[in-house]
Amino acid sequence: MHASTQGRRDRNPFAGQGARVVRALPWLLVAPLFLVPLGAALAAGRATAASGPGFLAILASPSILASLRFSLLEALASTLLALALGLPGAWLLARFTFPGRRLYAALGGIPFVFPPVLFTLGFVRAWGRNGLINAGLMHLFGLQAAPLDFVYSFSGVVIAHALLDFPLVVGLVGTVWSRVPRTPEEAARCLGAGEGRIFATITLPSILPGVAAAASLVFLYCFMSFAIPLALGGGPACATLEVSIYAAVSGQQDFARAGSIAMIEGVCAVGVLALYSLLNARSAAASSAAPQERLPLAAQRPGTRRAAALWLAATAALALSPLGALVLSSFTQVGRWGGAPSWSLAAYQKTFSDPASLRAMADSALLAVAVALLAVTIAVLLLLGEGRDGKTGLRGIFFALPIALSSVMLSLGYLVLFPLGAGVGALALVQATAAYPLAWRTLSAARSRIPAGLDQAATLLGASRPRILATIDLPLLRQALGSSLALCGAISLGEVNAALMLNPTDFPLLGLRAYRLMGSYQYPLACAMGVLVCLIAGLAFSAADGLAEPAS
Amino acid sequence: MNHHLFSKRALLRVLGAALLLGGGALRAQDRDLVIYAYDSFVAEWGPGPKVIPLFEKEQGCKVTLVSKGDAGQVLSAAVLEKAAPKADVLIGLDGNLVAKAIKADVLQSYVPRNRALIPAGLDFDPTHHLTPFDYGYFSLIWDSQKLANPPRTLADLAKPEFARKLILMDPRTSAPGLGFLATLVATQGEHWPAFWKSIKPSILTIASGWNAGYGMFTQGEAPLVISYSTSPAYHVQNDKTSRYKALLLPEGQVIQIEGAGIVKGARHADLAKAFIEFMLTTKFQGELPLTQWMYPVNAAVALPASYSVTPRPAKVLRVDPAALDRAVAQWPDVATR
Repeated sequence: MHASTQGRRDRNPFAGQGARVVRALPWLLVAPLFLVPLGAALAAGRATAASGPGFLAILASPSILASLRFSLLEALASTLLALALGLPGAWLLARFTFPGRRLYAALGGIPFVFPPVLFTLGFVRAWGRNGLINAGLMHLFGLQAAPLDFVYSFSGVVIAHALLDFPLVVGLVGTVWSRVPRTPEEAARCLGAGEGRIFATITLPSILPGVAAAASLVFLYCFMSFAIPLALGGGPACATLEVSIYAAVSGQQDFARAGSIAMIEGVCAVGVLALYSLLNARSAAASSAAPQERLPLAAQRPGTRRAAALWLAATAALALSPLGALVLSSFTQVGRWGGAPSWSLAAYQKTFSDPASLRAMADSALLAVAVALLAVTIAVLLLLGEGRDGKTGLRGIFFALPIALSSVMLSLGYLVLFPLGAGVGALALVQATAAYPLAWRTLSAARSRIPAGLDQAATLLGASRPRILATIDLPLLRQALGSSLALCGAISLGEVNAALMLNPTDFPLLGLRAYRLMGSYQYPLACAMGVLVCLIAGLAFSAADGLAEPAS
Repeated sequence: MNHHLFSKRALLRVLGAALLLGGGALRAQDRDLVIYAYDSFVAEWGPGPKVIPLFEKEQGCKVTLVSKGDAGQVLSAAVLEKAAPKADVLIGLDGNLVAKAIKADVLQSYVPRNRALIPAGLDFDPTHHLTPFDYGYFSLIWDSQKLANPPRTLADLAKPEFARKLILMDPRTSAPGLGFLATLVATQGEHWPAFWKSIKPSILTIASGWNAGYGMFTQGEAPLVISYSTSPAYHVQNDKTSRYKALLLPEGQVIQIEGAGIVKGARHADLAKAFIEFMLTTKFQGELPLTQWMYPVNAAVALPASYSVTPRPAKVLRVDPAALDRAVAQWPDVATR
């Protein structure tokens, strides 16, 4: 085959007219999904801008600078702690098989499925001064005062963020690490290099882009966090920029100010996003097609076995502590909340006997499926229009914007666009917009690992393009498709902001229901809702992982 | 005999059905009243689902009740659509938002024909842009199982025995949070920053909203929280416990009066006027105590027995909205120092 056509084929699976249409579709269909609400929100600022401080004046104001500084600091600290908690687990996930491996990997869905207010309550219930762990420690050691008193401080914010997000690191880095070719390491070992040297000179450079990509994502989520820093930080010193945007919209009806702060936040977020895109592409390029062979943990030295088991158990317990606290709280009697626990299934009895809450469960699951399918479809559409090499450039950053946009600003946009609320179709689209960037990245990384040689061989044997897609590419992407679907479904289940703004009153949703229950004193019921949400999401993740390579 | 697969009539029916199934905006017909309210009004446990059907039946119309988030966002929504308003009635703007709503010129003045039902002293808008429908008092709530000696005055909060025992909320993002700041402004005037500094050691945390803050309080993280004076009534009514008590200070309590208004340029002004008047009747007001946990303005409504657990405050504080706005602008710096 001619060298130049071969190169072009490698860059784009659909050459010619079809390719142009496929490349244009995202700009026509996907870009408006997030540009229109953003534009509406910014236009609102332009329209109602009276005399007021200009953009630079707002940027220079001490409280905004303080919020920016805090947002950056807490995001950095949270990311570092999340990496510390997540990397060893990622290594274990990548290199070994052990009972419960799939469950440990499923923890990666928790960050997406937990509405932040519920997470805050669960975290406080577990680690707070009157929390379960302090109560246990005090009982065990006969202490008078609570030994762990870190929750309401900068450390509390950082630890809460880290506990929430480290499973993400485990999942993302675990996948990357499992595909790092083993042969260079083994060769070095044969040549007599020590383990430390192997790690420093061979392993680390190959996983570093993947680690940095995961770190960038965690940084972004923490940077734009709203409820957790404020609730745990102890004061406005611990307010992120999102809080200032919200205060401008709701407290002052000053949309111009909100827009200016959102732009400051957006510039930083896009910067991090650019870093993430770059690193993600580099890590995808460095990995191989199939996961490397995993060794059974049971066959390792007893010391390694014990240390690994301890680490896995400890980190799993940490990740599950807020959820576990909520589970325990949901079993307290509706009414004795906060007092001595009197066990009761009342919350669950109420939940399962109330037709409205049963409907909420069914409808949330349905919406989650719709959102998952929509988001993955968008992701596949984006995927078709790009080359196989995983390089994304500006297009990659642009279409990943939804995760870098302020959710308060987007809510403001929906306020403008849908004054009378909107149907569930619009809500599905909105949630899918928030979810597709992650699905896209997962699929893109998976596809870049398919060796081009496979497609070329099939073409040589006479297979047509669609047949190649159906019989070679898609089956190899099956696992990535499955986990993307589960991820997007989980994001939908835990989403409250858009549901609140678009308010489909005849379509009750679990997340929104839990939020409203909290607003009417009914905390145990809210916890029961939250537990159900996590359960459904957890099931979806396990099922998705079940689509994985058979020998795992 | 019609040989076509789809007759014109069927096609029109299909088109009509498709239009009806389309977005919410298309559902609003001419006899529809559109109301914007805050979320807890619209929620299943709020008054909305109970009172709206009553009005619909009475007037033979359909009501579209839309949640906009919190009261501030209700006003924001009205400001944004000022040029072509879709809403007819705004529910939930309180005394703090009155001035902003009038300044934004999104409401029209209306004196309801049954305004005699409103006690003097609760008519918080002399220009009649907003008609009050319920009210409450912000008050500190304390847990009698965790605190033997509660503070008796505001100044007591500064005592070392209450270190890290108080949960507050951000006044920028929460009504009770704003209520606490209002209490300080009303009692300390321009010297409130110094007072805040003195009570700072007592503050455990400042939550983003009532949900999180009150939740932490009932979890036992701290024995004092800012909330409404009717909160203990909820626990008596539903949890059968009287451990949570309201702290009525000798300095007085700040009152929060919530009102509803007709949007300027509303498309269904007559229905809107009827709704405002409906809001003052016992049919509407009677649903408020057990859903809003606020006092109805209509004095003829019998309050549930649980409400007697908190007496009415001896002194009611009112704060100048402009002074409060200045305080909110200053607050982030004061609270950070």
